[in-house]
Amino acid sequence: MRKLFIAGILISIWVGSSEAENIVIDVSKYEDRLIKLAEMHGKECSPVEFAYAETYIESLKGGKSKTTREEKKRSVVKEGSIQTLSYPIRIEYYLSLIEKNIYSDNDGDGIPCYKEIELGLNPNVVDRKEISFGMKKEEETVFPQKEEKEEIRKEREEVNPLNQPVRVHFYFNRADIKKEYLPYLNVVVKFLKMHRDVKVKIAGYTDSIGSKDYNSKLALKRAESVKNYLVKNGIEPSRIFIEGVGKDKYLTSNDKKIDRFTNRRAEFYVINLAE
Amino acid sequence: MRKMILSVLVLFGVAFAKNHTITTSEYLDQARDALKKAYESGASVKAPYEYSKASAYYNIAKESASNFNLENSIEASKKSIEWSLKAIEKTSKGNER
Repeated sequence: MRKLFIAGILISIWVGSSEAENIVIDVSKYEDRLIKLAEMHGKECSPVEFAYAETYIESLKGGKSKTTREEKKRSVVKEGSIQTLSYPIRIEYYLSLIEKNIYSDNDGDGIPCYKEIELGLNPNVVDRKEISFGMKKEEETVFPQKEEKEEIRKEREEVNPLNQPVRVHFYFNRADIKKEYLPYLNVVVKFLKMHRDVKVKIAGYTDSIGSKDYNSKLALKRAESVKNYLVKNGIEPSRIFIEGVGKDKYLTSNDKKIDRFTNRRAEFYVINLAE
Repeated sequence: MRKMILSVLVLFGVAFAKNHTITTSEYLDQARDALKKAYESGASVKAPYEYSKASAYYNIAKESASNFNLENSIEASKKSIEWSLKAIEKTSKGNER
């Protein structure tokens, strides 16, 4: 009877442990989400949560911090131990916090965190002045004198959207404009409509992955897609020049995914500003 | 005879467990010290990503140790120390500027 009891306990332990080993966790889906969040500046907007999510993902993968493209293609599955079973829940929790923080507005200036990072602003400092583009002052001023007009003109020039670093970033091997950039491009459209003497050059850039020829074509496509958006919104095509720079003039190194994302961009340059 | 075999087995078990526990706990201590130093250097504010990586790995190391997953615990402790050092490095670089 005693032997039977002990055997029963041993069998139940064995069955329990083998069931736990059979649980499969698809790490790649969490990894993909984290990469997308990184491209949305999740690391900058939510460094603590990003670090925790990344660490648990790495831990599920068995300590690998970098995944090659071949490894990413096949979905990485992992036999879960009792401890790692709770990791997906934690990862989900931290990923949701990152998503929340990306769209948060800590400084209360109406610009979400990811947007401020893209524009090169500090997400913890109010930037109301920078986004107003001098419009508020002009609206408030009734029949300004010549000197005042001159001041307003100078101020507008200082804060005009083309004097700011206007950059549109792209996903890997893509040339379509991400939704998040449309509001900012709309501001540029508005500005170009107000200043018909301004001509712009849009230069497309890529990261270091791929051949030079392919990247040059891709860079030109990126510049072209931005031009198409401006033309679609009423800007004359003759005022917009495009150039595909390709694998050159990187903003940062190409070591990390976020750095490569920074380098995949289209930039505006004012080429003729008549007085 | 039976008693002798049992006592030898117990001795082996204790010696084996002791060896591993000491190593793991030493790693954990080192990881905790490194994390503490990183915190004291202001890394939680100046290098939040690196500091949080160290902290997360330290938590994993602790959990693994409590589940007797000693290999995992040691690995996580090492990673925690590594990230603590990176956090301290980044913080000190920031101070130099």
